[in-house]
Amino acid sequence: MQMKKFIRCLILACLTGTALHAQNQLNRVPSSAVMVVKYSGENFSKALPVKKLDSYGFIKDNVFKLLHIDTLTSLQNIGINFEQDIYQYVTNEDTCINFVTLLPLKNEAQFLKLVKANYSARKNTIKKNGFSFLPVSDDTYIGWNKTTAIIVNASYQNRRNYWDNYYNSNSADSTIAVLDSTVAYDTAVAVIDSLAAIIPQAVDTTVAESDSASMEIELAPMQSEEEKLKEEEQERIRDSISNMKWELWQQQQEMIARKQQEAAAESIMSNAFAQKIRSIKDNEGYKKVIDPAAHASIWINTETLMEQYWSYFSRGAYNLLRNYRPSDTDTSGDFNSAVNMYFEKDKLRMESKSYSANSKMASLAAGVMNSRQSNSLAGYVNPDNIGYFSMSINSEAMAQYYYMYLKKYMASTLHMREYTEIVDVYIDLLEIIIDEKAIADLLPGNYIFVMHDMKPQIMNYTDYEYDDEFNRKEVKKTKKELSPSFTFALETRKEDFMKKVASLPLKYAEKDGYNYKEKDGYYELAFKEGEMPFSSLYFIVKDGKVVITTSKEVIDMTKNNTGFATDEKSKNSILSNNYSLSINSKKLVDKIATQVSTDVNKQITDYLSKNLGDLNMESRLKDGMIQSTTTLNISGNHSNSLEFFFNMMDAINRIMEQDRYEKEKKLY
Amino acid sequence: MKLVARLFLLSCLVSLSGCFEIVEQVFLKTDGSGDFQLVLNLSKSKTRLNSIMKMKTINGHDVPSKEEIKSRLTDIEKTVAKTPGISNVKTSVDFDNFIASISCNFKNVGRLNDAVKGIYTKENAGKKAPDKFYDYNTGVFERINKYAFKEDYKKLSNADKEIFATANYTAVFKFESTVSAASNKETKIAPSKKAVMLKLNALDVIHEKKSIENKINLTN
Repeated sequence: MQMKKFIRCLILACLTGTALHAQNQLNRVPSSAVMVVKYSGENFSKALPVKKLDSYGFIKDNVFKLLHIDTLTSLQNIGINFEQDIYQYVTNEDTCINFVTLLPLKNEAQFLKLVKANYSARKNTIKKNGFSFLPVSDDTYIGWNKTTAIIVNASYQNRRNYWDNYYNSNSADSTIAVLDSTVAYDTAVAVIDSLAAIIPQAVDTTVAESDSASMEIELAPMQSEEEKLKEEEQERIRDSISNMKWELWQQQQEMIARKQQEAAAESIMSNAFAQKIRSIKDNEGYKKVIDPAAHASIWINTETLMEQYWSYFSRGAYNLLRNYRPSDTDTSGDFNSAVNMYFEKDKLRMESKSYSANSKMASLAAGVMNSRQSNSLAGYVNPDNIGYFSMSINSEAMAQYYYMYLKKYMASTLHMREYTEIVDVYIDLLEIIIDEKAIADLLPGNYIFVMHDMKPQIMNYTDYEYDDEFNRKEVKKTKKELSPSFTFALETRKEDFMKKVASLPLKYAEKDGYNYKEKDGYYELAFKEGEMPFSSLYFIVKDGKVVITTSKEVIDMTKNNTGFATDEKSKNSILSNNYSLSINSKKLVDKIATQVSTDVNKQITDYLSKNLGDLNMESRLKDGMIQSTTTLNISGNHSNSLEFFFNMMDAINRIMEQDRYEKEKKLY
Repeated sequence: MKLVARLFLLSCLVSLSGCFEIVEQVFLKTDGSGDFQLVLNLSKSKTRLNSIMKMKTINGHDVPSKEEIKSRLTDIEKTVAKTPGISNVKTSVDFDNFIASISCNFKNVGRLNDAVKGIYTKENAGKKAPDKFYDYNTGVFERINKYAFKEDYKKLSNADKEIFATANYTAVFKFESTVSAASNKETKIAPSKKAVMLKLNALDVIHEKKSIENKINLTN
């Protein structure tokens, strides 16, 4: 349900358009946002007019249905001005995480019709100062005036655990204390408790049991059947009371959540409509990385988002904000990243930038990127490969960055702030104990993964054949399966240590039942037929390199200190960037297509093979920022790459629908 | 068929157009006693299964370890062996080829039903097992199926549905008596008239396009 609401908001935004015209919604995006998404109306509407969107079958079948629009209505007539910029952002306010959508309106009445069709509003529209406010569900709120609509999806993050409260009655926080619902809960619990006190105490059998335990012969008195039934009844009542208390607690938490969510949504809208906010547009970290000319852009405060991510997984969703850094924390030195997207004629281009206004942080990032991929690792990229990923970072600088990050994170954590100095000392001690230089010698930071090819290999399997009398006979048959040929290589300056590690499995191979053997300067881990999609995995440590590969050719090359004749474009990209990725999509899809058995999948892979181009990514330090360029090429008959995505979704949808229709026709 | 898949706990291991075959074989003597064998052959998917066995979950299902599969099979063997009128219970599992089987001798078809019911009840806690899976009465041997797979199949995720895309079901019934007729149109009768075979695509059975039910008339 929650997901559906989110998708609805996203769809509205995804069907968008334009640049800075009559009103600039960016003024309404607060500087406290942790993520901002912008859809440029002008560029979107040029690349994919709303009229064209109306024509897609899957839009009519799915999106129209989801938005409760009849198929005769055009997206042009739902009141939203798709020719102006649409913004979405995420912010943490009042213990709520809020997902906010800012929609420019061109027709208030049409927009209201859309809202009414989508939400059976429980409450009437409330007139606020300069806008109308409509709570459409417990966590979704819409506010609008003649020119702008704001949709807020709020999610209260400070729900308390019943068992924390159960075992520690003093743990109630100030938020809960001020709410009437707490009083209601406490009163209800008091009533339940007084009722519970009326229930006669169960017969105490503990004494009898312990007495009998201490005496060897004397038996505990047998409970009469009546007493047993009485005890069971009391147990049942106690269970019901516990359940009732638990339900009341959940109801109270729901009530608190609703109040907090509504308050957060109202506060966001009041500030936005009154333009009483400090807009993110003036943030150095935003301006520096966002290109106003991009067709779409995503901006994130990387560190805040990462902290939320770790917080979510380490403490669980209910405690997301409990120990989270407070809103007054200075985030100006945080890393801000943005992806600017351009839907060009023959490719989708994404330019990303990461920037920190804090010179120390920026110089640490520069240190991490102060590395160059080695020629010998680049030599593992064979011409005609399916894809590769090369990474070259400075491991020592990376370790330094972690200390800094750890200090920043701990210092900003709510209960740690008063112990900042102690934490600092501990992290410094950690820095002294850990030998970053030794780690950097072991793994300096140059890695490469190459998918050379995927070749069919013959695989045996057991099948049955039957003679005339249906006597079963086991027969061995063969089939072709795709076997990946790949290499993973890394640099090391601790070759002796790596050699020890590589030879270690020899000692345990026989005992543990695997086939690991030392060959002529390398090791081979051979697999039984069918055990893995490849027959052997080879290991070699030589000339400062550790190589793990499925290809004997790569082992021979390493032994002879030679490499593949890597094409110039790939070589340049690998050697002049910290990160370089390339995937030959057509080749990959064509290889996978050989394993596809159903007609529908064959048609889909055929479509992708004809329309999908190569994917490339390069990343390096430029103008003091970590900058990346990712391109996805397209082929086929499309006006531009944005249209390609919609054409692709439409084509796949049509193939699947046709298949479903054919199957149903066959069955009934 | 659902029972068989559960029986060997391996159906959940096959993903993406997985390929497997279930073979059900009964040899029926004139006095009503006989041998029963059930085989699950996943050999065609063994490379994929080997990879899956290294994972913890697939398509949201837990992946059992080899030890867990063996132990479950032993449990089933014990359950069947406890059934009166059932003897010589054997189970086997070959993890090189991913073939599992269970076989036993039965005193009469009623006892065989009891054994299958025992497994069904054990694997489907709380569900009432059908009374009969087989019947043998006055020269007629019957394979009965009261279970509708269609609704359960509809509830499966698309990834799980793919498991059945190329799966097959083969039933071989052999007799001391002579087969005079078989009710299922897909049935092949051996030239000696002492055996019948029914080979079906699992999806056809699930969608009730074809049935595993069969009534075989026998003459002495």
